[in-house]
Amino acid sequence: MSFKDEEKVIRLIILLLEDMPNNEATTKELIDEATSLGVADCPDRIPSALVELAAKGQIKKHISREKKAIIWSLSS
Amino acid sequence: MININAIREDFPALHELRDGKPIIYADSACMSLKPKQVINALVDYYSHYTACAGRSPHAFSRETTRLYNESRKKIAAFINAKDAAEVVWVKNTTEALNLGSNILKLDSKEKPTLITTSESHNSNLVKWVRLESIGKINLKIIPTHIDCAFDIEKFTSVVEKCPPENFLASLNHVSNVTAAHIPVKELGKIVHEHEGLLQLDAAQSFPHAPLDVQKMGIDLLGASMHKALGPTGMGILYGKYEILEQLEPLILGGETVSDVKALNSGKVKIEMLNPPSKFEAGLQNYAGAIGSGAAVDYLNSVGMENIAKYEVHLARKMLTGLNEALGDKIQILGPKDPTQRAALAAIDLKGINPHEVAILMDEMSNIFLRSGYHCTHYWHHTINLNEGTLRPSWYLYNTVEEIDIFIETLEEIINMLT
Repeated sequence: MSFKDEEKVIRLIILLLEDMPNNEATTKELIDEATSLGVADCPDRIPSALVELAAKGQIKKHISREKKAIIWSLSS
Repeated sequence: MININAIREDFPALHELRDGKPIIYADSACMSLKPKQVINALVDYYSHYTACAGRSPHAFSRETTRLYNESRKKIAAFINAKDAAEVVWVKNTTEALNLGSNILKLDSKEKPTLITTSESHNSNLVKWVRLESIGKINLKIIPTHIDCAFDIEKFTSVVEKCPPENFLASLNHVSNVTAAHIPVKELGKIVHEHEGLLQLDAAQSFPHAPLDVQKMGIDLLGASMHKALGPTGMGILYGKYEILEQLEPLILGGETVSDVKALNSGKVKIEMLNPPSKFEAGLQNYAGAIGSGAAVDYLNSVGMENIAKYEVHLARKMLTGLNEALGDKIQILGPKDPTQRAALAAIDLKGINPHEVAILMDEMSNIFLRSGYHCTHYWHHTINLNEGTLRPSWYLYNTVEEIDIFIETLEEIINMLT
């Protein structure tokens, strides 16, 4: 992934989370949303961008047993 | 037999600690780690004799030329090619397969046919789909059975309808998702009986088991060095010499010609070099080629038969352990018999997102593996695994203890999420 692409994916995730109810979503929901908007890179690139964003403190995560998934949300 | 402790000593990356804990590298189907022997070969080139090969008469250049040529001979011997001139340096398997496909006569009266399989990596699919979309070839995709047995009957019926002397069967030797092997020799025989050519995507076989292009009846073969302990950005295209002679290069430039003449008519005439030079335009990745030679030296020192046997042992451990611990919660794709598959597995987590499991594996146990489509988008979609799969892939430096930790961590994550 080029530097520009990575930046693009990171910006995309922030924008998508801003539009999600409670500013939160699972990885699948983010990938599906990005794909439906036709703005996704290869979906396989989104997870590493999520880890990067979490490491920078821009998003946080918790586990949802109900959704059997990690929930990503914007840090307040 | 493999001396696993001695092997692990050779790989500096295995001794990296994260948060004070060792790492478990299970992503070798994507990128292998590098032994110090390969790293040293690269550092030696850059430290002690950096130069162009074959261009200048000084000592650095002569040393580069010698080692560059030696490396090509080592690769040729590694796959039992008849001659080193049958080995072309390329960037990776993708470039090799793209170049190999130039053997098709796209402008002939009868459109050429390219045959591949549904579990093919994008390197062995995307270009063919593109060529078909612009009307240059007929593309035939053999569906991969759910048990991953190669459908020889279907393949034969497709081959029988292909235009003689203008079709290419471009097949994965070992799938990077189903882990299944194909019967290369048998398929090559069918292809040759109908006057076609067989191109093998050996990205997942070249690093893991002995290859003999002559015995196996292979016409063209692509492999990546970065999966075989070698440097990144290096791969090889093997081709029978008479095929390479007919093959049109992907790019042209310096080092591909013996002369460029000014004609009296005012035109320019080029005189192309013979293979492999005609394919290697411009300044080459000499360090990469020399590092590739060091990689096959390393593989040979361990022994490809030994590596193959050890990987069956790892595959058996993985399959047995996963089935015992998580049999009803996951689906392991590909053959059930460890002797019939590579030491990797695409795992369907039945409703749990594979990317999230990969993230948690890294976080909890420093287990590095891949999740998603693994560049086989088409195959995942055809079997309705639209979230992709989790893929651990093991190599000669992994241990059964690491596989145990992988299984325990996977179990823990699944319990945490459900």
